[in-house]
Amino acid sequence: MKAIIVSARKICASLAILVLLSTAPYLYGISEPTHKESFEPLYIPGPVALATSPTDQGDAISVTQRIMNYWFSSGIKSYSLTRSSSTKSNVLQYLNEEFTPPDDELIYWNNIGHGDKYGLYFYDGKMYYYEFENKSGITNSIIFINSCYSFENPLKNSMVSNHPDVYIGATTALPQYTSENACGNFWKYYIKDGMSPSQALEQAMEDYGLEGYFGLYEEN
Amino acid sequence: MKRTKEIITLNLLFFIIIFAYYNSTSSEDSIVITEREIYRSIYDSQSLTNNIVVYHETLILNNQKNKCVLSIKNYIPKDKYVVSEFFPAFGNSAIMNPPIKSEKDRIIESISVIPIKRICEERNKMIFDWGEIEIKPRRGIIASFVNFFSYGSSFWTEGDLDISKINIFREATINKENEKIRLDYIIQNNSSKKISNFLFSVFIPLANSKGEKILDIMEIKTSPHAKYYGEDYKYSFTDGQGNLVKGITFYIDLENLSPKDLTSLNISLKCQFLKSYNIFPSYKVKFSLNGSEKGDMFSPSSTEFLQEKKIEYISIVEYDLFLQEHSPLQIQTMGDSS
Repeated sequence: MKAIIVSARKICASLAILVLLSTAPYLYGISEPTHKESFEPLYIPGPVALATSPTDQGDAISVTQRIMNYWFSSGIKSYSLTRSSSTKSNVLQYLNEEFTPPDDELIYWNNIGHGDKYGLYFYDGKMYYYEFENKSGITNSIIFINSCYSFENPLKNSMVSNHPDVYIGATTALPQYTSENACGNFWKYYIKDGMSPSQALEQAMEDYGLEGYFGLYEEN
Repeated sequence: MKRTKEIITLNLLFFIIIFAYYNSTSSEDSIVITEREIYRSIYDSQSLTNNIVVYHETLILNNQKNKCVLSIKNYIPKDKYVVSEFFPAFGNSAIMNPPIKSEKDRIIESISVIPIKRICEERNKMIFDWGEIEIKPRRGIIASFVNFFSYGSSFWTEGDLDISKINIFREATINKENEKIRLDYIIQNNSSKKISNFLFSVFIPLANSKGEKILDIMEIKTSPHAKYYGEDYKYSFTDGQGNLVKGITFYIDLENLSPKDLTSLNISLKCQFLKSYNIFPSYKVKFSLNGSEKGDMFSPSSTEFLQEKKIEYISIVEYDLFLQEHSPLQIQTMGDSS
């Protein structure tokens, strides 16, 4: 008799566990679709903008955020890679347009960080000028590299060999704060105020007394 | 016997390695002072002129096992302290990129930028006083300021450029009939020091501020080591009058230029003049003074340590200037005799 009671208890306990397991997904909001039609996530392929800032010196991070806001407000999918996420491999994924799904296109890239005429410094090291060659993400994009000497060769030549619509770089070493903010103002004038890239750069340089500090390449 | 020789050789090698290591790390028990001055152009869009400011950074690294206490002061000629017109700025606002660093900061854990304590006047000088500073072991500090240095025009002497005895002589000719422009620049190092990372570039606007083409370039000839870009009307740069315009840039870059050495940039353009216009070429001059000493500086830091310390000193002086030509190239189309 005792054995029968133990067995009955075991069966009851097993049934309780089964009931709990079957209802758990509903309790936690994880439910099976009510019908078996295939479900695709809502996805609209389109332009992507990338803001990178491996450094947090000066106003690098706050201006990066400001630029992201301009892009967001114009309805562009915008991503940022700041500080430790701004690694070479992460940046290269965007420059190679290795998106999932694959039909997105990089149209804007802004970088605030250190650099010289031979390359740009990301969180885990320097990316040399030749590593920017054959990058589909740069092609037909508007690129602003707020890094020292980014408008000098060989870095400039590597960038423009991808035929960006616009490439803006520094002809000189850049002072902190004013250069980042001039970069932020460029995007404001271009995105929000609808100026042409050259008008926007001219105005942004004038705002901070930085005439002559940046050069602009424009694909005709 | 052979075994003994091997042991002696190995011991000797070990000793040499230890000796070399000791020598290479001898700075690790000292205080290293690195001073950097960068002369830069600041464009004044009101007066359409370039003025020169100097960024000064003093980096002090305490590689010792004990804390050090010191005071830092910089002295500025009173007439260079022009607050109403030019900013003096201090601390983070006076830091240039890339940040100053020392080859001898391997063991330093952190570097902080210190605020200025007081600015006072003494006879004909202004004193930037950073006060008494305590630097913990393996820590560093930066005392920085940016101040007015001179008007850009002060580098022009008798029509040519003289930047710290780096002389740039120039000659320009325009042949209206043949529509040819010839520009010749001779650069001579008349200082007693070798300069390095020398760059001289000339930007010639090809369009006006409205985007209208002034001239079409048919043929370009330059001196062999000169490089150029922008003949395809794809590059824009500041024309020296506050406008970003399309144009062509010619440049030479040299690793070094020794005392009394000279180099040249010769440009010959066969053009089609499209619009009568006064073109103001603009120049970029960049170089570092090798082996710069305190005497090469506008305002070397005066440091005073409360105790006797072992001090190593390094200084860096850099020029990074954007200068506007004041004699325009007068482009006249054949139909325009004005």
